[in-house]
This record gives sequence, structure tokens and C-alpha cells, in this order.
Amino acid sequence: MYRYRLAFRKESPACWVGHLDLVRLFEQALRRSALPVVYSGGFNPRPRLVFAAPLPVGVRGLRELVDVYLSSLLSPALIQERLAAVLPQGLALVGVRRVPLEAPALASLVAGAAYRAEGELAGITPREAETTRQAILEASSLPYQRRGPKGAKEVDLRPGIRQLQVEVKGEQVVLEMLVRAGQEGNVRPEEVVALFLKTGGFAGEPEDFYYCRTALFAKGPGEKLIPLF
Amino acid sequence: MPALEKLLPRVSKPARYVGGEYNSVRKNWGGVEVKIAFAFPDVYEVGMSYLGLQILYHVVNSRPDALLERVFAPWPDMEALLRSRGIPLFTLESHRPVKDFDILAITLQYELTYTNILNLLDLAGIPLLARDRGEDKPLVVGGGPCAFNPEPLAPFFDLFVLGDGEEAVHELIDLWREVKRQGGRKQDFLRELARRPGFYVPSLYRQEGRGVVPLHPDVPARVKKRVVAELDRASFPLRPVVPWVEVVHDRAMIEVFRGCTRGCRFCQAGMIYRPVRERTVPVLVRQGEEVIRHTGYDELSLTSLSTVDYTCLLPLLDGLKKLKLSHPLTVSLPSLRVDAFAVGVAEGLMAGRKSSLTFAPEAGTQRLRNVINKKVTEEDLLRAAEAAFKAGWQRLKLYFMVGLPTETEEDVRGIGELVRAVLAVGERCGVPRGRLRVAVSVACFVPKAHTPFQWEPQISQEELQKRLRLLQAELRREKRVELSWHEPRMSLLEAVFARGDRNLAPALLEAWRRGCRFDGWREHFSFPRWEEAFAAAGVDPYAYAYRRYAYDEALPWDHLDPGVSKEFLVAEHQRAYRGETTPDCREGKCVGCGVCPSLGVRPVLAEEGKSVSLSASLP
Ligand code: SF4
Repeated sequence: MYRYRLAFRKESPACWVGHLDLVRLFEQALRRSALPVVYSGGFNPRPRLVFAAPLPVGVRGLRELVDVYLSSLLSPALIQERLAAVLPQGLALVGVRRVPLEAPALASLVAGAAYRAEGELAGITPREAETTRQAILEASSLPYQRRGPKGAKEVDLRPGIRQLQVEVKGEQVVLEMLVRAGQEGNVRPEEVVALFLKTGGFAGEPEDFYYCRTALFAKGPGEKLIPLF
Repeated sequence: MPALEKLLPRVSKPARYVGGEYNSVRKNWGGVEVKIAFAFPDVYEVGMSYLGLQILYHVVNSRPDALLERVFAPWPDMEALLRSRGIPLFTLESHRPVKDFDILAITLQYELTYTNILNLLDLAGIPLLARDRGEDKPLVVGGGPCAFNPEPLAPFFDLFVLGDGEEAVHELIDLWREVKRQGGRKQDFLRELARRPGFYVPSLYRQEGRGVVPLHPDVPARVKKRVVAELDRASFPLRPVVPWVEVVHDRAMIEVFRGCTRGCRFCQAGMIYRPVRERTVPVLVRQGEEVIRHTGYDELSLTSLSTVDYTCLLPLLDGLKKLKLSHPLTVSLPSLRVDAFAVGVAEGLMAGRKSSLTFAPEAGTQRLRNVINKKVTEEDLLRAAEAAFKAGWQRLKLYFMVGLPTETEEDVRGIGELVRAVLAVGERCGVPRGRLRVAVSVACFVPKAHTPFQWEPQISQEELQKRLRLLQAELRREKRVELSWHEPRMSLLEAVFARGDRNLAPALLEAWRRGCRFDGWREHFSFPRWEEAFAAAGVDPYAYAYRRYAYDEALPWDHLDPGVSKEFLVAEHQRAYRGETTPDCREGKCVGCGVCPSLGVRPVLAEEGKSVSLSASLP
């Protein structure tokens, strides 16, 4: 058995599909590819797949990761070629790499994620944006009502926000953020945008922003984050 | 951000609206002459489970001169956004407004989607009434089973297509091109089409009494349905669209045969899709292989109205098993015949885990099963149950109907007795205590056009409730039984429209205006709103549902001809009351339903040398 790590982009229209359906799309594509995929045992054999971190519906991903297992040793280039031909619109491979079988599970490695959020805010000035950014980063806590299946719950977003940059060009606002992700908890990009809008008193809705996860990170030495792929 | 992208973060399941799925087809808009939008008046997950959509999608998009794009009923959250932002309903492929297409084809699968149809037209910005639509508006066409009694929808549609669509749609497109090239108008097109079999133009007819008669001498008094003579030669989608999200029937499909001649007397599908036309094994195996390769599904469903009846079922299963695929494949059957053979087949198909097995005895006593021509005995059912329990199934699902013609309390109690007998078989077969389950699903009888029971009234709501309570009491002490039933008031509404005429159209309009949508969904269905609508339109719904129609009165669907003769339906109705059954012509002898001589076709069986000898005369 051989283990490969695939890096892929998830863009429109595929980005409107949730995580469980994304798994289903990958399973179907792997079957169409006729690659020697390793199937799980049991009554309902399915391709063995391990994803790094689910992406929220509507968020693009530039470097999402999934591990697949094959029963024969193939060149990454061949895998990429065979799979690229059968992926649905909006999913594209950006890289394939062989990883040792005994490497830790992909999901357990994830510790951080970088997101970009773009939107338009009428009348915003670079100075206002900068003041807001600083207010967020200097706050000791950032309470936020997180909506979940069991109703709203107050969480503190501050410890989960590592970096935040804001760029303003005319009415165009771009937020780049590095936030906590993985087993220790997640900060969602629209939460940071909601916070930014509220803190700065800007009229706008997080739904009007376009979101993109640009990279996933693992924990490196010390508190450093290193890119996963 | 494009307009659509602004809506998507604000709705549930946005993948319903984006299009671009694997195998979907996006054509160059300017490069084709005829543009068709195909609407399924329910949500994406329901519509994408429908094989008929995939067939027409493939048939039309295979033509270089035409395109077909999909649209589904938007969920109320999306509807609210479209309305508040003034965005017209758009198709999935090109995201163009539906009103920019030449033709809007709407499939009519179920009466409780009718308000969704009006809603689709309105959201598209298309005037609801056909007579208010000018030349610049799309031609609105209906097809599917409810097109065999479309009268309640008549004022909203320009055209209905009766029967199989594969060939009819080509004829429609060809004629549209021809008329348009000559600078003709919609009316010219419709007048010409009305003379051809399969095309019913409601504006060329008027209601007289309850019947419907043509307005002009060159318009036929009865419209015959279209029928594809040989399925092996019919076009089939080998690259069906693979939905973005898990849909209701999320699997690859091949159509083993069309039509069913078992002759259940309540069943409309069994009458309007006759005769039986089977595909042959080599064709099916090849289609199965291709569909699996091109979709990546791991399950292949062998669809038809009764797949276990396929004459070459075992060779087909064998052929599929021998396919060399790079991944495991499960073959499944949509429903099972009630006998031990069927269970044996199901057992051969199951890889291992046995969830549950479904049978439809439909009625609780032999007397009533004879009345409805369901040729299943208690022994058949108990043997099937025994085979299933012995093979390792622990949960069986049984379908029944209440309110069938001639039904008495004894028949309802009979359901309880039958269920208990099945449980006893389970105990005897050693199904572990606590594991043995029988799910009992009960539907309310709805009289349908073109069936032997088309004249029968539906029983009243009070009576239905009484019988359901009786059944509940019968099974109350049985913890191993899971009893569920259809909402009786939905069945009432279904009965009203299933036997309705043009006078119902205003009530439909009123209901839609009052906000009725997704009437087939319990969370949206509101009977009080419908009652208000009927009152406002001055229509008595019970006069449709509860009245016994007379043999000699003209019926609102008599002008539409599925080929089965009225004489046959009368004879079947009378045999029902005498408790006499009628055999399946598949067994070799024609029983004279009239389809074959009337449409110039015959049953097509896959097994070599096996054929049905047609009777020379009608009964
Ligand atoms: S006409 Fe005869 S052979 Fe043809 S479908 Fe009817 S009963 Fe069967």
C-alpha cells in the first residue's frame, strides 16, 4: 500500500458543496479514474480517504489536502493526470506527493489556516481600516456569539487570531488572516470579518465577502506554524 | 461578485442552484436554434433522482441545433431572495433567465407539485395564463404521467405531450425550427402539432359538461399517446449528470423495461405505460458498464415498474457480475415482487449487511387483493418473509393501502393479522428478540384517471381517519411494528386534482396566491389555506374526490388516449366487484386491454422466442 497526498483547489461551483458531499465527489472521481485505489473493508467498500480539514460551504480553497491510498506504486505525475481528467468543475489538483505510510494522520497535523476575505465597503478609508485592525489585535478578548446547531454560544476569538492584515483600495477591502484551525478549535473567516465590521462600525454583511483559504499549517518548533504542503 | 454568488451564502444547500456538475452540458447559446428550459417542480434532490430528466437532457443536448438546461423549484429561502432582489428564475447551466428560452418544458409527476408550477412561472416572469403570453414568451409544455389528465392545468399550458418523450421531443423541435424559419407564430406551430399523435393543445379544446371537445374540425377529438416501440433502439444517457450533493436516489440507473401489465386496478402507471417493452441483456450490460464508468457510482439500480418480472433477470445479473471494473459494485432493485424467488435474487445481490426488504401486498385480505388484482396470496407473503428472515434480514417493510373500493373493517383488521403472521414467521425463523421489526407504511387510495377505478369515489376524511385508527388499535400492542401513513388530507387533494377538470384552475390560482407551495412536503402543506382557496374560487373539492363518476358520463380525460380502451376499464371494474382476477399478458396471452392494436405496437420480451399472442378482438 502506498500513500499519496493530494493538494487541490476548490473553487466555484464546487465550493458550494459541503464537506460530506465533497468526500462523495472525491470517491466518485477516484472510481472514474480507475486508479488502483485501496478500498475500506466491510459491507460498503469505499475509497480510503483522509482530508486535512473541512472547508465551510462557499469558501474557496487554494491548497486543500487529502491523503489517498493506492495498491501500486505510481508516479505522482501519472496520478495527477488520471485524476485531473475526471474531476468535476471547480476541483483541480495542484500537486501530488508520496508520503510515508506511517506518517501521522493528516487531520491531526492541522494547527492553523490562512484565509483571504474580499469585499466592498462604501466610504472606508485606509486609516479607519488600520485603526480597526489594531483595535482587534490589541484587544485582550474578543467575545463573539457563535451560532451552532444547539443555538448561540459565546466564544472568545482573540486567542485564535494570530495575524491580521487589511488592505484598502478605493472601496475594495482585503483581509488576510492567519487563524487557529484543527483539533484545538477553529476560527472561521466570516467571524473575523463580522468582528471587523462591528469594531470599525462599517455598514456591510459578512455574507457579501468572498472567502478563500489560501493555506493550511502544521505546528512547527516552538509556536511557529509551517505550511502543510 | 456576480449576482448569483451574492445569493448563495444566504440560502440552505446552495449547490442546488449552481450547475456545472460532472457530465452536465453547457452549450454555446448563440450556436443553437432551439433553447429549452426543463423544469422539475420540486427541489434539486428530488428532480435529480428522476431518470426521465436525464433521458431528455441527453436526447436534446445530443442534437447540434438544440440545447436543454435544467431548473428546479427554489426552496422558500431562495424564493424570498429572488423576489426581494427582483432576480428572475434562472437555469443551472447558463444562469440565464428562464424567460429567455424558446420553450419551458415542465414535468408533471405528482398533483401536489401544481402550485410549484405556478410559482415557477411567476418567478420566471412568465404570465401564468397561456392566453396572456405573447410571441416573445416561452412556449410552456407539460409531460409525464399527470399529462394524461392535465385539465386543472389547461389554462396555464400551451401544450401537453402524452407518452414517451424520446421521439416526440425531436418532432417538436423539428417543427418549431421549421415554423420559426418561415416566420410563423406560436399559434401556427400549435395548430400543426395538434394534428399529430402525442400532442394535446388545450386551447384548441373546450370543456363541455365534464368532457372536453375540440373547437375545430381539423383538431382530433382524441389524442393518442406516443410510444417507443423498441427500447433497445431508444437513446439512453450513458453520461448522466452526477449531482453535486447526495440526492434521493443517489445511484446509477439503467432502465430494464418500460410498461407493466400486472394489471393492479388502482395503478395508473400500469395502464398508461403499456405495453411492456424489455431491453435485451447485452444492451443492458453495456449500458450498465458505461454508466458506472462515466459516473463513478458504486451502485447500479435496475429500474422499471417491477424489475423481478424481467424475463432475463438472472442472465442480466450474471452479465453485470462479470463486468471487469476497477472498484466494487452493488446492483439494486427498486422494489421487490412478493415471493421467495424475489427474495433469493435480493439475497444474491446483497454484499453483506441486510438493512431491510420491502414488499407491497397492498391489501390485508385475499378478497380485497382479488378486487384490486394484486395476485399475491398470504402464503406468497409468508414464504417471502420466511426466505428473507432465513437469509438474515431482520426488518421488513410492508406497503398497504386503505380506502380501497369495497374495503370493510375486516380488510383493515386483515392488515393487522397479516403483519402479526409475518412477525410470527420471524420468531419461528429465530430472528433475535429485540431485532425483529416490521415497518408498515399505509397510503390512502386515490382514484386515478385511465384506471379501472377511475369512477370510484375516495372515502371521506372521517372514514379514512376511522380506518387508520382501527389499524393503529390493531397494532398498538405490537412494539415490533413501526406504523406510518400518508397525510390523509394530502391524499384528498391529490384525488381532487387527479380527477379534476378545467373548473379547478381558479382554485389552484387562489391557493398559489395564498402562499401554497411544496404541498407534497408535510412542513409546507396547509389544508386550511387550500380550503380558503376552494371557497374563494367557488369550487367544491369534494364533488371531485367523493363523487362516484358514472360509466356513461364524459370524463375530463376521455379525449386523451393512452391506448387502453374504456371497454377494458369497464370490464376490469366489473371483474373487481366480482372478485375476479385478470392475468398478466406477459405470461403469453393477451387479455385485450387494447393498447397493442390501437397503437400498432406489441409487447417486446427479451427472452428469445418468448412472445405474447395478441387476441384478435377486444373484449
Ligand atoms: S393489448 Fe394485449 S398484449 Fe398488448 S398490452 Fe394489452 S393485454 Fe397485453
